[in-house]
Amino acid sequence: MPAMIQIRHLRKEYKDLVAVKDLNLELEGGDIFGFIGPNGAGKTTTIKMLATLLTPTAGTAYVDGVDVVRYPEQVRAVVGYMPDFFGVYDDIKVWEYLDFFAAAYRISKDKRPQIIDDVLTLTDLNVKKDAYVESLSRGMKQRLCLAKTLVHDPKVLLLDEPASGLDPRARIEIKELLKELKAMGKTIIVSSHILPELADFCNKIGIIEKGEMIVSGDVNDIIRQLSGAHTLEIRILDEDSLPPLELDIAGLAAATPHEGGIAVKTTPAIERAMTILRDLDSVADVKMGDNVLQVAYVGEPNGEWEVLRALVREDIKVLGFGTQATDLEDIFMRVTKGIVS
Amino acid sequence: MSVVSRFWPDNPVLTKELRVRMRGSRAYWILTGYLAFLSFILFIQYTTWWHQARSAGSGFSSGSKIGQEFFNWIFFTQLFLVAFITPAITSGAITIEKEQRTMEMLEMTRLSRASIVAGKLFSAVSFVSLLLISSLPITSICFFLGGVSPEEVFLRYSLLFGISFITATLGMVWSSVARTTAAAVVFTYSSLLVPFILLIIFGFATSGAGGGSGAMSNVALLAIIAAGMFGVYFPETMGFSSASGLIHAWDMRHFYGMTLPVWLGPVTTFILIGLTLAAVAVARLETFPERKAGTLRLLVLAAIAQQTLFILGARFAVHAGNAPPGAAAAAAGFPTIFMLVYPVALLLLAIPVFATGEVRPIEARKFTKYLVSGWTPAGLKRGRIASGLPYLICLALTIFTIYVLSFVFIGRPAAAFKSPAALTGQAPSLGQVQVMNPDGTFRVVKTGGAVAPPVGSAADLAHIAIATIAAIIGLSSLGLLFSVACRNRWAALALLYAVLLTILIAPTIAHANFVSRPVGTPSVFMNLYYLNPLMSIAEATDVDGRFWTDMTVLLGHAPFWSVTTVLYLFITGVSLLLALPFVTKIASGPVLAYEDMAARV
Repeated sequence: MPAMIQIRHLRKEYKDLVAVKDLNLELEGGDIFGFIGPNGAGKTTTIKMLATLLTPTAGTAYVDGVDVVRYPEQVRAVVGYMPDFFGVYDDIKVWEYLDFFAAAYRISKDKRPQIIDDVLTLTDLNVKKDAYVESLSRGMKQRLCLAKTLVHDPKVLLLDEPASGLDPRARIEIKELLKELKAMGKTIIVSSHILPELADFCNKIGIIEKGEMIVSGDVNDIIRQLSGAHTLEIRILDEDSLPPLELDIAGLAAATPHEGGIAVKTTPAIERAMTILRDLDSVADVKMGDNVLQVAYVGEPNGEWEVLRALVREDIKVLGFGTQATDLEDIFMRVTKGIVS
Repeated sequence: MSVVSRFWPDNPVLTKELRVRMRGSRAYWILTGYLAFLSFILFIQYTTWWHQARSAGSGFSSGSKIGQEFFNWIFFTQLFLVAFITPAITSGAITIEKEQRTMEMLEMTRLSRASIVAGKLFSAVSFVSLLLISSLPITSICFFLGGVSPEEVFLRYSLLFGISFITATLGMVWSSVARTTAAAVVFTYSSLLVPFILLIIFGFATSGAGGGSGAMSNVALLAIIAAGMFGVYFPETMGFSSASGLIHAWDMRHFYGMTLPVWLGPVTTFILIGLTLAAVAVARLETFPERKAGTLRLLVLAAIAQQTLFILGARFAVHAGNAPPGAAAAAAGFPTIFMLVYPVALLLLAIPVFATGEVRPIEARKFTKYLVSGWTPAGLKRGRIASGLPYLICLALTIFTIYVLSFVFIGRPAAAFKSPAALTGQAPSLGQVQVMNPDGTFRVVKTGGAVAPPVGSAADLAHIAIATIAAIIGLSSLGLLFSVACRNRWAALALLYAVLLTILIAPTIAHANFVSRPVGTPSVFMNLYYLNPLMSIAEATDVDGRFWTDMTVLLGHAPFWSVTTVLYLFITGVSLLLALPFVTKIASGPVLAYEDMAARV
C-alpha cells in the first residue's frame, strides 16, 4: 500500500528565517500522527504546505500519492484542513455555513442536507442547526469548524491545534470526536504544543523544534528508545519504622512533622534491598526517591520479574512493584533540552 | 429543481453573499439613505426652479428643459453615489476573508479563484443594481416634465451599471492585493483618480503628435471621440466648429456605415475593462499568477482591439455609404490615419506591464532558449518576461490589421494600399440622415456635397508600423534590463513607466516653452520627440506642413519614423549587452524547487 502522506526533505524559508528544515515523514492510511513542538517550531508551516496553502522552498510532499504543489486541486479534494486560528462569517446560520462549504466542495444540491445532518450529528451540534454561527461558544465553533472540514469526507485530516484555547470540557469533547474519526479510518495529522492531549490516540508522533524533526515514529518505539533504561518502581515495607512510609505521609499531615523529612531517608531494610538490587546484572542504578526505590533496569525485556524474585528470596517485603509510566512530556523535555540550551 | 435554479449558477460564494447582504437592517438603511439623498437633491432643484419661475414670470425654463436638467442632476448624483458605494463593498470583499481568517478555508475548497471573485463581484453589483432600479420611480418624474427620451434613460442607466461594474472590479483588484481592508479602501479610492491622470498624460502624449498649433483640433477631435467611448459626450456648442460635423457624423452610433445602439460603445468598453480587472484579481489570488496570464492577455488584447475598432469605425463612417452630413467637410482636415494615435498611445502605456518581470535562475541559465520560448503559442500564454515582447508585437499587429481591415469593412479594400488619392472624389452618399442632438433629441439633416477626406497612404502606414514596433522592441529590451538589474518586478515597472512618461511628456513641455518664447535654442529635451512613435503618425498626417513649425530637433527634417527606428534598435542593442552580466549573475544563483514549474504549467 502506498503511503498516504509522504514528505521528503521538505524545507521552507521565509525572508531571513528557515521555518522548516529537511523534514521527512511517511504515514500510512489510518495513522494518527501527533505533531508536537513548542509554538513557532514549524508545525503550522508544515501542515500548511501539506494543505497546498504554502509552496515549499525545497523538497516534495505527496498526499495520497499526489504532489501537493503540482496538483493542488486534487490534493484539496482528499484533505480536510482545520487551521489553528479561524474565523466564522457573520449573519449566517450553522446549516448555511455547512451548506456553503459543501457547495464549495462541489457536493450536489440534493446530497447536501443529508451530509449536513450527518456531520452535525457527529459533532453533536444538531440542536444548533438553525442558530447563528456567531452565537456559538468557542468549543462549539471549534466543533463546527471540524464539521465543515468533514463535509467532503476527506481521507486525510490536517488539524492544527484543534483544542487550543478550549476549556477542559470542550477539550475532552474534541478528543472524543478525534477518537471517533480515528475509528472511521481517517489519516489524521494533529498538532499540539500540549502533549497529554495527544498521547491517548496517536499511534505515531513527531517532535519538531526550530524547524527540525527531532524524533518521529511509532509512539511505543519512541518511548522505549528514548527512555533507554526504563525505570522500575519498587516500594518495600520499612520494618524499622512502622507504619510504612506511605502512611507516614498521612500522619505527617495530621500530626507533628516527622523529624528529618521523608524524601531520602534510608533505613536498614531499604539499605539491604538496595544492596541486593545493585548486585544484579540487570540493574544499572538504584536511587531512593519519593518513598520508592527507583531502579534503572537494563536487562532483557520482560525479564523484570527476576528483580522481584531476587528481592522476595531475600525476604524483602515488597509492597509495590511496577514499571514507571513514561510520559511524553518527560520525553519531550529530554529531547528538546539539548537544543533549547 | 425549479427552472430558475437550472440556470442560476451554483456558486456558493454568491449564495452566501446574497443571503448575508440583505440580512439585518443595514441594507435597508443604505437603500433608504440612497433614495433620501436623491429625493433631497431633486427637491432642492425643484424649489430653485419654482422660485425662479415665480420671480422671473414669463422668463422661466420650460418643462422639457427642466426635465432634462432634473434628469442630469439625478444622473450625476447617482454616478457619484455608485462610484462611491460600489468600491466600498468590493474593496473589503477579499481582505475581510483574510482578516477574519476564513480565506485559507475558502482556498482549501474546490472553488476556483474565478468563482470566488465572480460570486463576490456579482453580489456587489446586484446590490448596487437594486439601488439603481429602486431609483427609477424618482427618475420617472422627468418623464412628466418631458424632454427625456426612453433611449436616453436606457443609455444613462447602462452607463451607471457599467460604472458600478468597473468600480466593483477595481475594488476587487485591490482587495486581492492588499492585506487589510483599510489599505484596500485607500488604494481603491486613490486609483479612482487614475483615469484623470491618464487623461492628462494622454493629452500630453498626443498634443505633441498634433504638431503645430493649427493641427490641435485633430487632437481635440480624437479626444472627444475617445471620451465618447466612455459615455462622455460633448455638446455641439463647445466651440469645435470644424469638428462638430464629424462629432455628429459619429454621435456614438455610426461605425463603418453601420448604425449601432448608442450605448453599445461605452457598455462594451466598460465590460472589457471590468473583465480585465476581474482577471487581474483572480490571477492575484492564484499561487502561481503566471498560470492565469493567458486569460488576462486575451482580455487586454480584446480591450485594445475593441477600442481600435470603435475609434477607427467612427472615422471610417465618413467614408462609408451612409455618412452623415457635414462629416466629410469636417473630415477634410482630419486624416484617417491620425486615428491610430489613440490605440498606439494605449499600446505604449501597456508596454511596461508586459515588458517587466522576474528572471529566475533556471531561466537565466539557458537564457537564449528561454527568450525564444516566449515566441511559441504556449509561451505566449505564460506571464513571463520572455513572452512580453511577442505579445506586445501581437497587440501592435492587431491594431494595424484592424486599420487595414477597416477599408474592407467599408467595401473599399483596394484603398488601403493606394495613395491618398484612392478615396478622392468619392462623395459620401447623398440623402437624409437622422442625427442625434446632444440633448437626446433627433433631427433629420440633408447631406452635403462631395469632399475628399484624406487618408494616409500605404507607405505612411508601413512607416508608422515600423516605428511603433521598433519602439516596442526598444522599450521591452529596456524593461528586460531593468528587470534583471533590479531583480524586483515593481521597481522595474516603475522605472520603465518613468522612462516612458519622460519620453511622452518632456519634449511636449520643451516644445511648448519654445513656441511661447521662440528666442535662442530650445531645450535639448525636445529631441526626445524622436523616441515617441506617435510623432511618426503626426508627421504622416501633416497635410499643410505645419508639423515642422517650431520643430527644432537635432536632425533637421529627417523623417521621424526612420530616426525613431534607428534609435530604438540602438537602445535594444545597448540594453541587451548591459543585461548580460546581470543575467549571468542570476544564473549563478540557486535554483529553487518548483521554480521551473511556475513557468511550465
